[in-house]
Amino acid sequence: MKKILFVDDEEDVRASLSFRLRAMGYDVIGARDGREAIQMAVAHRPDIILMDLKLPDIDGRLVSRRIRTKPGLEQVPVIFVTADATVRPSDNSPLEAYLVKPFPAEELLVRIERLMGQRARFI
Amino acid sequence: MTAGPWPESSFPPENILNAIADPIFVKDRRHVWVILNDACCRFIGRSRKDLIGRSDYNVFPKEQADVFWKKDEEVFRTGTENENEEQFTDTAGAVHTISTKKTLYRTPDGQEFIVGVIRDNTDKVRAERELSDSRAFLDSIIENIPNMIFVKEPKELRFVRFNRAGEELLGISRAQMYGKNDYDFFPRSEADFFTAKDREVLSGKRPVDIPEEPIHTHGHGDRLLHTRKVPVLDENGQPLYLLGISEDITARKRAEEALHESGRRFQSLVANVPGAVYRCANDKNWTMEYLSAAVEEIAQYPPSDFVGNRVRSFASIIHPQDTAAVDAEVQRAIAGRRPYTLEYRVLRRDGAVRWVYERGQAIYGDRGEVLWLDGVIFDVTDQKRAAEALLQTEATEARARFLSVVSHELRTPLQSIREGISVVLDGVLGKIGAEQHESLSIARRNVDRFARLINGVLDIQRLDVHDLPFAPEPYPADEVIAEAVKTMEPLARKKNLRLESKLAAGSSRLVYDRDRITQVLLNLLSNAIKFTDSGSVTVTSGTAGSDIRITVTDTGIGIRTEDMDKVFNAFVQLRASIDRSTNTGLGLTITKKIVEQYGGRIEARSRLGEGSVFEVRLPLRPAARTDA
Repeated sequence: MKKILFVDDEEDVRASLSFRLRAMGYDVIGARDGREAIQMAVAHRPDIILMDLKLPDIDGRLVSRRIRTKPGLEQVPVIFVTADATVRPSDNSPLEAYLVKPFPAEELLVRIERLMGQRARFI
Repeated sequence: MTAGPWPESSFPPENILNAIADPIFVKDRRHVWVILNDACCRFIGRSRKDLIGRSDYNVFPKEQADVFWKKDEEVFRTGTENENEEQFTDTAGAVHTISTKKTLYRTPDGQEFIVGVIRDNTDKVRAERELSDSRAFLDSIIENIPNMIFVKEPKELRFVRFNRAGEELLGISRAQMYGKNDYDFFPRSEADFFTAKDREVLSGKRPVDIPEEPIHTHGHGDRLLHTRKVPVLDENGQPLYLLGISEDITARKRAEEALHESGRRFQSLVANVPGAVYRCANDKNWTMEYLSAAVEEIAQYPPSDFVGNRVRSFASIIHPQDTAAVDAEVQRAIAGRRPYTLEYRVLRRDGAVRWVYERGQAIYGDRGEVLWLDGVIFDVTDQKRAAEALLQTEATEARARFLSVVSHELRTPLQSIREGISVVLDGVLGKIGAEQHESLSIARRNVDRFARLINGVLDIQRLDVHDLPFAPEPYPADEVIAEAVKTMEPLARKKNLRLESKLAAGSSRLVYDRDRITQVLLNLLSNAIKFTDSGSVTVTSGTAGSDIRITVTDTGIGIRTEDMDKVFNAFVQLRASIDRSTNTGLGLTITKKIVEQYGGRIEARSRLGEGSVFEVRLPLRPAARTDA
């Protein structure tokens, strides 16, 4: 079972999306902030990370960079989620994607599958 | 005691003595009068009969008689004549100053007599004293007057009189001065000048005024004098003296020059001040006493128009809506004894309204009354416009920030709402009935519409405030159009519309942000598809002069002629039949803003029921950019 680490300080956002993700066969684990996200990533080694850009403690991009310094997590795909429509992808990394809230769950599922496919190519 | 024999033959006869106006008397050795002429009897105030055979003690008080007795004795003893000034009180009580000349006369037979001649000096002494008094008075004036006074004799022009002010000014004492002339003290050229003037005065016998006379002094360096030289003439009109009076005007002259200089500096300052300097009366016309030339730059009227309200009053060019406020502030400032600052509008000659800033203050007289108002007026129209524009920009930016934050805060809950609906609607959590499905579909459609509205509003704000980016690399125009068409194909297919493209822009490349151009194309295409129920949507491209020209033509419902100008307005929904839930009413507004930001134009042509054409023109080489 593929493991998704969902990092968002909004409990409701995590919960509402988790229904579908679980129904689609993913194991969803949650983290409320950057610090917790790093701990969870190290402890649970997720296959993909859903990350809110604006976390209460550390910027989402920075959290993802830190996670990628951990052994075995260098190639973990990250989908950044933001409510700020002005945010643009900082680079065109094949292991990253951006979604602006509110987005349809279908779109999220498509991104997850695409990034997991990309990752498979790297490994 | 009896009188001795009178040697008649030794004296002039009585009638001769009586003809002499001065009192004459003869006393014998016993101090007894033996002869008195009429004048002497009158002088003493007694008849001859009362006096002959008597002495001073019979007539005068003892102290006076003692003096006379003593003088007589001296003459008898020494045999020499004497003349004494004596005080003498006549019988009427008047005091006389007399001079009595007493002479010893010895007869051939050895008898001795005293012959006295009295001169009454009372009037002469009084005149002398008066003269002396008036001299002292004149001396006092001359000595104490702050001007230099000198007197020269007319021949060699040597100084004979010099006062204290002169000593102080020239640094030469009068002792040094007397008996010398100008050549002994002054440089030759100066002495020549002084002497020439002196001669002019003496020969012309008229006073001469020398308004400015430079002189080198020992005490105070080079000074400037105002000198008046006057001839003092005798009764025959011949020069007795030359009188000179000099006033040291150096300080006054310097002050005048400084004033003049500061006036010049003031003029130069005023000419260079970037505003109109004025002095005006505190009246309803603001009657100008002075107004600098800069007013012409502000109001296009020459300053002379306003001075004394010759052509127009300054009040007449103040904007009518500001007149009262200007007056009120000036009067408040005067009441508070403080300067005033004003900002008001003036009406320029060409009718333009200019904003001015004015700062000034009242100048008060000794009794606290307002003499006039002094100040400067600056044209601040440009600054004011810039400030207003800045304020507006700041307000717009603040609004944009606010909207950005608000929309951000709205999006997150929207995510949970949408997913909450979707997870049920999509049957993830179990099967649902048709009515539940429809109800939740409506809910989700409106969540999506809400999200689009937020994005649209935010986008418009961004377009108002920020400049749009350009593409890092130019890209082929037809390529981005083809992509957009491809994106919209599913939507067209769903409505059974033909989506055609005739792209002929060739190698033309666009330099504008690719996402924004895509946004423009998608907006126009989705609009066309949305309002067309049958037929086709056609996209064309081509170059027209220095522009690229893109058209999107549909065979849809069209737009009423009277609504054409509202097409691009925000939130305008011209076609009520269209489902509002899928349309934000912002698409064309955003499209137009993007095109115009890039220096392009967008136009719509339509006929109701026959379809519409939207045409976009964008410059291939943007004006603002000079890149190759």
